[in-house]
Amino acid sequence: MAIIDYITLNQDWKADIGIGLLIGTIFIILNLTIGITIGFPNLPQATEGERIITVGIFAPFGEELWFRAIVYPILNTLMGFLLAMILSAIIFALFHAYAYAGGLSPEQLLNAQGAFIGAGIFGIVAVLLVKMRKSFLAPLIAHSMFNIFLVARQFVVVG
Amino acid sequence: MNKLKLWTYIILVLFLLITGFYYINSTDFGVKKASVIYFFMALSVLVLYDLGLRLKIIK
Repeated sequence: MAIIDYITLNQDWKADIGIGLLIGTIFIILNLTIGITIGFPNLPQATEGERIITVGIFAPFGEELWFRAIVYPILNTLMGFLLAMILSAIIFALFHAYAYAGGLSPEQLLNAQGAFIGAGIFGIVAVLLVKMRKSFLAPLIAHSMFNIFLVARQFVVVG
Repeated sequence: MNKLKLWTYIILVLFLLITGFYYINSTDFGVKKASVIYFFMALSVLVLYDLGLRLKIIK
């Protein structure tokens, strides 16, 4: 397996979209039932449209490209699947905790522990999806769907 | 170059253009910061993808 091979879209990209929507729905149900979240910055000055585009499109696209198409394949070639999956999920979770809490000090990490755990779980699921589908499209759709839901929910709660 | 690889290029370049546009036009510091981070993430991926194709690392 070559590094960054997963960026090219799969021939079966429609199935990737379907699987992504399914996993996104499962994460939304988990959010509604047990409150799982992956954390994102607040952006208080931004308009609703800017927040949706930044958190729902930019963030999933940039992160999935980077973590699933570069970081995970590099780690996979260096240390094997299991360790690569765990380590890339931890890096992904740290990135989210940083974005959510604004730093990586123990106090800030403690405040963002929900986002850290949620992002870690999502990171593992996303790596499994990439391994299964050989493309980053399925985790991208799931990530995007879940993020859009979280932002839209914020609008409803805040008013 | 096959169709899927061409689309991958087009999507990456479009993403760069949109994040660049957002960086210039947004008044919110958080959005500007996020746009820059994701712009450079996508740019690094585009460079690696292009190199991968040229060096025939990506099939």
